[in-house]
Amino acid sequence: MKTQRSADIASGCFLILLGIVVLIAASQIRGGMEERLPPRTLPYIVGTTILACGALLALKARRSAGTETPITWPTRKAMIRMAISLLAILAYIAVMTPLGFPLSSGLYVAFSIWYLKRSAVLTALMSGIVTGVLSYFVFIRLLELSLPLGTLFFD
Amino acid sequence: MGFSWDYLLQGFAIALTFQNLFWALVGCFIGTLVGVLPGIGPSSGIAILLPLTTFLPPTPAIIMMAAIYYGAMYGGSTTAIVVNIPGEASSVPTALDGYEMAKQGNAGPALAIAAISSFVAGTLSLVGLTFFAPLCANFALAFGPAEYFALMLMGLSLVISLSGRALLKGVISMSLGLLAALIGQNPLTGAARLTFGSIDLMAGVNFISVIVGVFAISEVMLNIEASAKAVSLVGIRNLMPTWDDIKRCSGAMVRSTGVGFFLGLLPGCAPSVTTFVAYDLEKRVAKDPDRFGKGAIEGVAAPEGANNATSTAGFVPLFSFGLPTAPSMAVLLGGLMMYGLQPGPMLFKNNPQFVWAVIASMYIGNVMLLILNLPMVGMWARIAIIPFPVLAPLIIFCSVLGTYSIRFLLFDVWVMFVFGLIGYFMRKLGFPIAPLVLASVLAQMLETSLQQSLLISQGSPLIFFTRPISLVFMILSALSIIWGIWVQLKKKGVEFAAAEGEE
Repeated sequence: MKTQRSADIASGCFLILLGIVVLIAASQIRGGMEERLPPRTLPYIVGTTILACGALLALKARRSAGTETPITWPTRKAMIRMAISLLAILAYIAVMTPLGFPLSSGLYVAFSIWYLKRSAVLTALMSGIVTGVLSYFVFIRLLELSLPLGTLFFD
Repeated sequence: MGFSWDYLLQGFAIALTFQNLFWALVGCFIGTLVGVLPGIGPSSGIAILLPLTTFLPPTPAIIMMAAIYYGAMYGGSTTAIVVNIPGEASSVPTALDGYEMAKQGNAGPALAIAAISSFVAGTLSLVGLTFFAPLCANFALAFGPAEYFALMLMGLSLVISLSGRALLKGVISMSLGLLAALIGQNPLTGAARLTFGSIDLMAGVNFISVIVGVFAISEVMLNIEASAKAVSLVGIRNLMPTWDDIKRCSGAMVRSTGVGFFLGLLPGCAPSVTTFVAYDLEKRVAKDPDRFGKGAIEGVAAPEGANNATSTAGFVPLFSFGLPTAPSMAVLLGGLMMYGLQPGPMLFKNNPQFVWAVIASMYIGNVMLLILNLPMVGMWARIAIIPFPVLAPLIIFCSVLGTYSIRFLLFDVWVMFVFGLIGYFMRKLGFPIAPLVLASVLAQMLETSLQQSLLISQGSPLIFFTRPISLVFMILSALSIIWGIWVQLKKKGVEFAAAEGEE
């Protein structure tokens, strides 16, 4: 996956697989042919297109040896930074129901700012608190959005 | 039904009420903020805020959404000039000469000419919108489902063929968008499809989640990867341009309005495309093209004018046909549908007060933006240098809040996260994003109109070729694909790489 060519081959193969999955899933859609647009038709068309384009992409890339353009992937350091940032988002979404929207948002914002900029401890803390408090008073109380309050505290 | 002064004046009467003025101002303010901040563009900005405006009645809500959109178009230039960070892809050409001017100590005139050019082009193309949209809507009254299907097909094929050399990847991107939209329930029968037995997937993939994911989340990831650098602010002195500057740019403003407006009527010709075209045009007509790239003031006026002309022009197909030309227009379309307003000719007929109030508010919004931008430009420039580590978590927070509030389903937030990853890899691997977004928005209408057409024709697809208007659209979509393939084979077509960014 270092060059555009190998990346195209890899994404082509992935698309072929995806196309096959879509076609299999489409074949299991129930519903009769009595309708003017049978329910399987569109999924079949999309699945076939993905499969065909994926194959074409991979083949074209295979044939184009010699014209390599490198893709700049993140460095090791950047990769770790991205992975932890993504994990933080994952954790944020995962704990939203038990901890509630205000608390999980505050924790997420505080952690992420601190993680991305270690020197900004105070900014991180303040931003986290402001985010949590604003979420509660503006979005839940004032705008009355039904955001999760946290099953741990409120049942 | 066509244009009538009565309707326009009524529109102004509604737009000038305190509530609507207030929300237009809020929209202009947020829009400028969205435009100034890198990492969040108009599409994701509107998409995030859309679910949060449900407490407003439709007219002020859409007035605010529209203001965010054209406000972001203004704001993008500020950072391009002052810190050489284009807030949006469409501001990239502005940075070429704008930042040069700033380095020479002329940041003030550059910012001012950007604002003035935006204002002039925005207002001129609003006049175009005012007269053009009702005409088109009148024409579209004759459309049946077959014509709509063909029109949307043409829209999609234009977007794909504008992917430039990445035609194949454009088709793939579109197919992925259609696939995402197919998941869930069949709109006609309600039967489950492609859900793999999962109950969550029955709810379907909401396109707001898709848009926020591929734009906001993937953009944040790219910025975290690049580790945002510290930027220094160029001092802003003598804000006003000289009369000489304005005279020198007046031609560029008019030309870029023309280019931006007429190209902007076409699907796929987003501001990020037309700004490059307008910049290039100015370079060609200039007597001394060498100055471009070294701080030519026309090089700032032209892209900024085209930017605003294009974003205004996009409202013509949106209002009269219900056809979005760019991802941000697709979000606005979603907003209209959320309020039960079906854009298209019937909108002008059934909700004239609404349409004309929004159009009138855009005239007012343009003036507001000029006032917001000219004297307060220093403040906006300072906001632009908020360090990214502080900004990124806040963008994620807003994205989560926005996507959760669409249907109050955590599932939508997960979908956003997944599409963030998809968007990141698509950008890295050179897949254009616009076709995916447009397809995911248009899919439902495409499917419904296809179903209705086939009901009318009793199953015969010939219906798309026997009705004249539909036939024209079908021929045009075929032509645009052929043109795309031709460009591909020639291997020296215009590179529309910028179209891959957010508009």
